[in-house]
Amino acid sequence: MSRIDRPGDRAHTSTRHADDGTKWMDTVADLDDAGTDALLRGEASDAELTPLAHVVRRLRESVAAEALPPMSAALRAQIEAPLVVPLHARRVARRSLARAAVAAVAAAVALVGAGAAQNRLPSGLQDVVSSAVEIVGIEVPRSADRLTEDDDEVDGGSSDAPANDGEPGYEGTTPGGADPADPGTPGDKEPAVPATPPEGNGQSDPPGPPDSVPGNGVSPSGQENGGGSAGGNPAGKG
Amino acid sequence: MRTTSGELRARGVTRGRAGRPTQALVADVEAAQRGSVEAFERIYRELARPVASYLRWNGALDVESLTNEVMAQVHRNLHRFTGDASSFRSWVFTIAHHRMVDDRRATGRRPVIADMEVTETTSVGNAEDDALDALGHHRLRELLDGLSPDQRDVLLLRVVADLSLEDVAVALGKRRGAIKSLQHRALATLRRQLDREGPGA
Repeated sequence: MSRIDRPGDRAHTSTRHADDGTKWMDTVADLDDAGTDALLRGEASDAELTPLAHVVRRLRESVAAEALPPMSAALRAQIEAPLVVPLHARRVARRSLARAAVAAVAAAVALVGAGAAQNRLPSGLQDVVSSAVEIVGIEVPRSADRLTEDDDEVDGGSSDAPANDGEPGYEGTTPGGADPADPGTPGDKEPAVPATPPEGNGQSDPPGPPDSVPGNGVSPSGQENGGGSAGGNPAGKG
Repeated sequence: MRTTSGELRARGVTRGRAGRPTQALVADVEAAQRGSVEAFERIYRELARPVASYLRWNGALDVESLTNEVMAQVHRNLHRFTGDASSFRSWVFTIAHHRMVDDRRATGRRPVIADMEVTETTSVGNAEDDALDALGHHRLRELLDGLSPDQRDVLLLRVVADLSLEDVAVALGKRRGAIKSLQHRALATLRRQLDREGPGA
């Protein structure tokens, strides 16, 4: 029963409407969810709702009477095309693949760039990268620079720069680097190294050392190490 | 706050139109998502009729073509659908409703309900019942024309599409309370018209 008969004002209102033929207003107003659901199925729980139930029933019958629309050729072709969903999936996969490829290339460029900046790539690759980026004005050491450093180490020269590269304590060393402990060699090609400020990481160009340190600017080693890389500072290059 | 399909599923709202178990529809949807043509044909046979009826009562002119467009869109987006049978019906009628609104906007016209004679049923009741049963298509159309578009949408989705209040709320993007209120006003308006003009006026 959908009608809620309350002893209060509802009943009073219903009585009032019963006389003027509008009792259905209360009946409709009093419909609860279950009553409404029943009415919308075409079931009248109250005589006042019978006309509405008929309308609903006729509407429902109209659905049953509706002829099934024939499937169009376009729709038929669409559902019979085997790859409608896979096509979409393929598109998504292609997009993902493209994104992954871009990310991989970016990662590779970053890795090679970092390696090249630190002169840690294999010689051939280091030279190729160095030549390539030189075109756009970026200076990257060549593998030959690294050989020179190695030679320096073999010669017992100042080995502080490569050894301390990137280490936190490096900046805490004396301006002379490790030279106080390093006897060095009088004929060392790198007397200018200690004079180079330690913070030169190959990026800065200390104004003083190349000019102020005798023998640095024109020495063969200076030419080797120079190449525009921080005034021939192997420490700076890392 | 609007009712979502997820909320419906959480509430365990499952209903199906009489005659076909909801599990069968769910199975067909899943099979159609995997590319089964037969499964989609069964879905078409089950839903194209109420969709066409909904479009017709809403004044669509080329009901057949529009129904095909709705079902084509259903097929195109089928892989995105997740949910139960009730949600699926709601989803299909959401598409139908939007397609109908687009069509109406594109043609820039007021809804004109296309003619379709409803099969008369055999009457078994008294004279009043016979008169009501004789309620023809034209009278039904007049009664529906007396409703506001929102009221008509709600009533048709409840009766023709057989959606629950919650499903109608999802389909129309309104709150459940708003749908309930529109539904009540639609019934009151219909009853008032019947009271004023009689069932067969």
